[in-house]
Amino acid sequence: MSTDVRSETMPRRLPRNLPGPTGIGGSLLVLLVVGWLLTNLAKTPGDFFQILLFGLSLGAVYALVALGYTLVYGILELINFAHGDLFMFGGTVSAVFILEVFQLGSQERWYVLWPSVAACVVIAMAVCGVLNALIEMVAYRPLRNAPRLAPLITAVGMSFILQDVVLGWRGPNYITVPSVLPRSDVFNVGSVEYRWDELIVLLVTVPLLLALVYLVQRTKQGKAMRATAQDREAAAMMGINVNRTISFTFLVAGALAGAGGLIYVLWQTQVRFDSGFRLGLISFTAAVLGGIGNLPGAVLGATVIGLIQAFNEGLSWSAPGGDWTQSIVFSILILILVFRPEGLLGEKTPEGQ
Amino acid sequence: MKRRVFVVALLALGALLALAVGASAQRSVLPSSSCGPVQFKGSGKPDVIIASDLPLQGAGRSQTVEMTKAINFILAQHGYTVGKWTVGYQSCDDATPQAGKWDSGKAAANAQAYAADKSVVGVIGTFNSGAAQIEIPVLNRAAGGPVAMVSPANTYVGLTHAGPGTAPGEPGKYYPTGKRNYIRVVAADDFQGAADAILAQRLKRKSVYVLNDKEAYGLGVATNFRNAATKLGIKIAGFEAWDPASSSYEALATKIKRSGADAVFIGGLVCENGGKLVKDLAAGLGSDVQLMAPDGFTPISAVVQGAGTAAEGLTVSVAGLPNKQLKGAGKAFLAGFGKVIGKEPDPYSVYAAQAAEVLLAAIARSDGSRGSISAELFNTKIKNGLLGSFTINKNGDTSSNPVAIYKIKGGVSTDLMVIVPPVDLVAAA
Repeated sequence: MSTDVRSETMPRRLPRNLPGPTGIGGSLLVLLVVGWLLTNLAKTPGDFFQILLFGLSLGAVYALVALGYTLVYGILELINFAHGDLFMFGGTVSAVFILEVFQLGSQERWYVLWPSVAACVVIAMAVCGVLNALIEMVAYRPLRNAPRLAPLITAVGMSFILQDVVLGWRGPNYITVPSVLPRSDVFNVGSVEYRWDELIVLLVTVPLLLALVYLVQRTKQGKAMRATAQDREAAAMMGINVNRTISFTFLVAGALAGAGGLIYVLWQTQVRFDSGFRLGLISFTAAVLGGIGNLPGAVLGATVIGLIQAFNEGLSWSAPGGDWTQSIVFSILILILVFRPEGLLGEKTPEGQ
Repeated sequence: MKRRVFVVALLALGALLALAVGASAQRSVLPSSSCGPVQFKGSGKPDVIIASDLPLQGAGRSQTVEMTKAINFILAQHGYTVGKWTVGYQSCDDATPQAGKWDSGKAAANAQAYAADKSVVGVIGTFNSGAAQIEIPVLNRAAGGPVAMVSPANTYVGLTHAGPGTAPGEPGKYYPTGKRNYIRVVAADDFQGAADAILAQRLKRKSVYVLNDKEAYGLGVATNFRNAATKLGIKIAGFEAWDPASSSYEALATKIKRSGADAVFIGGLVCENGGKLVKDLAAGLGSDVQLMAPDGFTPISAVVQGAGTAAEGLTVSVAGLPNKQLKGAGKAFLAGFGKVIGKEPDPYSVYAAQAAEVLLAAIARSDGSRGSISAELFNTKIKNGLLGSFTINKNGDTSSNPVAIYKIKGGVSTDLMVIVPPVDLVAAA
């Protein structure tokens, strides 16, 4: 009987070489976007490249945050919603150090500027790394075997706690820091200007990303992380200290968020208690777009989201404009979750492998 | 034993709560979560209460806190007495630290509290037009008659009269009882939009890109500016919203540059990430493109704090006269109040003081009931007041409509000019 029902209700599988309506719709959408980009490129090539370069820097900041989401999800299958706020915390700590400890100005001499920035990188990464590991120990570890909803709610709670801590500490206004990074042109070809501050964002972010890949792929600790991500129990049986490995993962994710916060503050020159909320959600979307748990996927997803946002806000021909950025980014999240939940490069989680 | 400890603890908690409630009842009739203590220097309790409803948190805090001091200054001048009534004053806050500006939930809760407390006979506020949209109808249908509202700062057109840029059903939907209870002592945005269009013309701008922050006020003033500028033959290169939660507006600056605009009108509030917007636009567009903002970009110190040197050259229009052009009572107020606060008062302090004077005069003319005070607002005829001589028309708008233009130079506000826009241009805006 059940077989009959199944045969009546289940559609016949289409031959694999024929695209379904989803495939056709997706291809049409991609074609439309590519057509729109090419038209803008043809009409205003200067603007196109200018915005492309800006989008790459924006994507780099998203990548630092997205990697934190993806690292934690990869190992615990936890969407750490406090991660964006940790990024904001890193930005706030950096801003306080820039303003009140190093007292940097916009025309700072190089031998004052760069050691101070280097110190800020270390401080922001250390503070956020330790804070994230502590959050894991206090808020997530006791719930490791609880239903998945419990740590998720806890993460949302941690997000608000971090926001309120910074709100109580520094108040509701933006903390504005001087433009300490040089804003002169790296090159100026035609109407394309590329500034040093945008390049510095990439120069700091790319080595950090490479170091992370090296850490995960080539070191013993990375191997332990991958093993724990694949099968926690088996890893424990092989002598891996699972708790320490998870703590280390949170430490690394937090350090990346701290670095991201500093770079953001140096580049965008302001931060406030809610700066990490939406940026965190956008970065989470980037991680899902690339394939959650997948490190290169997070970077690819973040770059794509950064470019989409920049093109949408900056291109002149038929662009929806900044008013629609949120809708577009979160539509991408919905489309990805519905039609390609494994993301562009595939999910890498204990379940996904 | 455990049970006894529990009962004792419960009793102690109850006693503490009773003490807290008693203390707050003595100190304040409106909720202490939003409102400060009753300010009153007389014997016993005041007969009636007037409240101010302003955003006391966020980028504009220094400005609005000073406004509350100005209102109290006026009440003190009157000896907290008007006609046959003694008057107490409570300063209420419609902002939250989370929003860093006015908040719709807080505004609604405040309005409910004013309406529920029968001793409240008038409200000076709101500061933001969006908050007024929420509070006017609640106070309009309050028990015992509509509660009088006098705004020192709302400029959105639709609050008092229909016109280009207002929504369908405005302003009738704010007055469900059919009786008006709201007036303002500043010119509406059809005047401000027209004045900014004239400013663009005087600065020889041919093409303007218009931005708005999507709020009632921001979208309204941007629309008024667009209509007036179009009437003057200025090209509108673009009209779009900026996203207050965005990290950067560099891409938007590239787009505006491409449009060929030689000016940008930023219709909105500085606390909607306005400082960063000005910074990125100035960096991306250069000093040849004139940035223009309406009174949402006050206090100017907040713009300078957010945008730094990028704010140089920005013009800010504010409905009303600059301090230096005030005469008589206005000049005397500036001197007296300036001495109290120890600095040159903010232009909005004069408006807050004038709003207080208008409300007190309406109470004096009334029979003391809410409905009577509201009705008396529309009989306002001020001669040689703080803002000069003016009347209030049947819509609740003032007959005095100058718009001051300030320009940021050297990190401070400087007077640029005063524009009184012609009636036909205002009608087109």
